[in-house]
Parts: sequence; C-alpha cells; structure tokens
Amino acid sequence: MKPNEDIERVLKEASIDVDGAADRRIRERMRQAYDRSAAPRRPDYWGLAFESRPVRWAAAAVILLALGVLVGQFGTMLSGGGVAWAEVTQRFQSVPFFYASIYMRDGALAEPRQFELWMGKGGHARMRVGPQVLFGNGGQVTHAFDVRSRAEVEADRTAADIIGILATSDEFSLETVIRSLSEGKLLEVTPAMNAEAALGEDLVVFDAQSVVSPGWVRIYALRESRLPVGLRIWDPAEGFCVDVLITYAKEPPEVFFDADAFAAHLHDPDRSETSLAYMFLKDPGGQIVTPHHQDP
Amino acid sequence: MKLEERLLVWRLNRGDATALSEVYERCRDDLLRLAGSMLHDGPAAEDIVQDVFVAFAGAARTFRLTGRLKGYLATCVANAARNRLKAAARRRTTDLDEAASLASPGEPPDRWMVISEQFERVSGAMADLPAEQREVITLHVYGDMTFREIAEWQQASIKTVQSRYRYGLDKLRSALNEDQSAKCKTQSGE
Repeated sequence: MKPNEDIERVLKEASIDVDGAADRRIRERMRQAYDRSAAPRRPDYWGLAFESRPVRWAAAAVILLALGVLVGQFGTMLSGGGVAWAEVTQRFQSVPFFYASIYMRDGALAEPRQFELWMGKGGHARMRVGPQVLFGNGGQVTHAFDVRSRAEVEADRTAADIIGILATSDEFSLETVIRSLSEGKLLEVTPAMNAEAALGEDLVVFDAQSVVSPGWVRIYALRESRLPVGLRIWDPAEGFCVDVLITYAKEPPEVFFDADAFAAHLHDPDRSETSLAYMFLKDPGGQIVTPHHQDP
Repeated sequence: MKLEERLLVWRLNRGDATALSEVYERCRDDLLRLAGSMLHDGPAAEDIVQDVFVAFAGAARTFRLTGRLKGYLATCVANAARNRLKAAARRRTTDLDEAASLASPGEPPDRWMVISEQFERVSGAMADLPAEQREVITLHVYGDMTFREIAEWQQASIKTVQSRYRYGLDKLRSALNEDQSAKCKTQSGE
C-alpha cells in the first residue's frame, strides 16, 4: 500500500446521500435553465467536428465527403495539379456503398478504438465496435447486439452518435456549411491540395486547417478514380488522432443491413463471435471473411 | 473517460437533456463532498453546488470542454467556496471553529445533502487544516484533479502543491486517529 492510500480511502469512503425531494427540485431548476438557454440555430457541423474532437471529427470527415461539401462554388477554387476537391467529393457521392474502418485515439499514448462502418444507399448503416454490432436507419440505431453475450443491448453511445451525425444529411446542406464557414473562416477550412504530402503520383492529398484549434484534416484520394481512400485528423495540442480507411465495393445483399435476419442467428451455437460480427459480409474479391462463408 | 465526457458535452450542445442528468449524477456527490469539506458548512456547500449546476445547465448548450468536465465543475465549486470564505472573513461573521456542525440538530428539513457520520468526522478534521492544504486534498480526492491542474489553479508550483497534499494528509491521519482513539475510550467507559 502506498503511504497515502489509507487516508485517501477513508476520504473516499466518507459518503453522503441526498434528499430525494430536494434533489428533484434541483434537477428541475437545472432543466429550466437548460431549456431557457435554447436558441433556434442550425448546428455548425464543421465547428463541431473541430471543436469537439475525435468522434465528431471522424463522422464529420465522412460527412464532408459523403455530401460533397464545398462542391461547386468552391470547386474551381480548389483546383490544382489536375485534380479538384470537387471531383473527389462528387466521385464519392456516386458510390453505392462504402466501408470505413475508423480508428480513434483519445491522446498521444492512448490505445486506439476501432469502429467499422458499412454505409449503403437509403440510409442503411451497420457498425461494429468492440463486441457490438449495430444497425441503423435514417440516423437512428434500430438494434444493437452484443455478440459475446448474444443479446440485444443498449447501443454503444459513441457508435450511436456517429450514426446519428451521419444521418443528419437531410438538414446538412451546402447553404448551412457556407453560413457556418462564413464567419471569417472560409479560406482556412477549405481543403487545399498539398503536393508535398503526396508520396506518389497516384495519390493526391488535400489538407484543411481548423481555425478554432491547431487541428487539421488530411484527405488522401486516388488521382485516376478521384476516390478518397483515407483520412487523417490530427490535433497536435493533445495528440488526438482519427485515422479512417475507406474502401469500396458493390453494395452487399440487403440481408447484410437486416437486423432481424441477424437476430435470427444470434443464438445459433454453431456461429462463433467472428461469424456473428461479420455475418452476411461478402468480400468482393472472393476472400473468406467468416467461418460461415456460405451465407447469402 | 475523456472521450465520454467530450461526447457528453457534445450531446449537451445539441440539446440532449438526458446528458444534463448524466453530468449531474456523475458529479453531484463529489462536488457536494468537495464543497462540504472546504466550507464545513452544509447549507453553504449546498448553495454553492446548486448554483454551479444551475449555471452550468444554463451555459451547457454553448459550453466547450478544454479539460476534464469534473475538474472544470470542481474548480467552479472551489472558486465559489473560496470567495465565500473570503467574504465571510471580511465580514468577520464566519469562524470555522464555531460553525454549526454539518449534521447539527435543528437543521431545515428540506436539506439536500444527507451526511454520514464518517463524512462529518472527515469534514470536521478537514476544517482544522490550513486552507491551501484543504483545497489541494479536496480538489484531488473529490474533484479528480491532477496536481498540475491544482497548481495552476492555486498559482503555485507542483512541488508546493504535492507538499501541501502530503502534509495535509498527515495531519488528517493524526486527527482522525485521535478522534478514533477518543471514541474508543468513551465507548469502553474509561
């Protein structure tokens, strides 16, 4: 035992309790103060992405690509080296399906946490994080299953937030972005080509710098196809980091996004955790990804 | 933890009132213990913590987290407690030695904080410490603040803060041991 542990334990174990009625009154006062502070304004997703760090960064980065943010009006401004940012975002918009492996690290020495995201057309989303497999539609998590306990569970909050952010696309318009960017921040947050950062001619690199923190985002895209394949978001102040690897394929069968079909096999003793985690997933290159590779 | 707190703040920014409840439940007891230990005055501690929570709720939609949420709230409570002690000292109306016990009989029935016997002993012993030592101990133990953060808040070096912590704990240990011995003697009828 360390020298101070005995007395520290005494301090921590010196408990208090609260009176229920007084507690409810205080909660109510807080709730009223919170409600009074409500102001009707549209969310600033770009601001969220850079002020609130990793989780939002990853989701916001995917949003920026998925929705073609800054396309059109700023596209010509961004041209350089034969590839424009607008081409990258437009190309991304045209894909029917993508898979993103998102690694988030909370600080320089922290272990990263992986989120696997499959996004199809029509608002379908499936995600795996830790032992959880989540299904989403229209921005809401419809079901979350734990493949270890083989039970439906409460959705991982971070995963649910990411799916929620991604689904705000209906209200996430170019106009909103312009408005949020127009407070003197426009040029600073516009992704611009960074030729020095590209390792080869096949790759083009775009950078965008946050104006509210030292953070920056870097997008890697293929020169020929214009498809973005990687994102890195970095905060030099605290070592927060998000790495996103994006791959593309033809859309998987509908059953892959079907939570009921997934649940039907949840208690199948022949299925391992691996099999459940990636159930119904087909590798487009024909490689086996689960022990039950005969799934439709 | 850091990530969870950031998400909590993000939800608050988006208008999610359930996040407010989560913040409250996570921090309430420790903030009350922090204020109670710093002031050794139950009603005053309750007032301060309540005011901090309500002020936080009012600003939560635009709140930006730069450190740890609990540390931020603990600092708010500690600032308010420090101001209250200074104001009371100026008015010469507060004497910690004469202050009513936290669990004194006759207290208003609608009190928020219900204090255990053990906490009463601890806060009583804490009241005898120099203010700087008391601040360091309460902010570190109940506010989960690092010595570096406390050093910034106290505008002192980390070594000084660590010394204050060590000396403070030594005194507390002695005081609580004496208290325990006295209690044992009383019980055994000596």
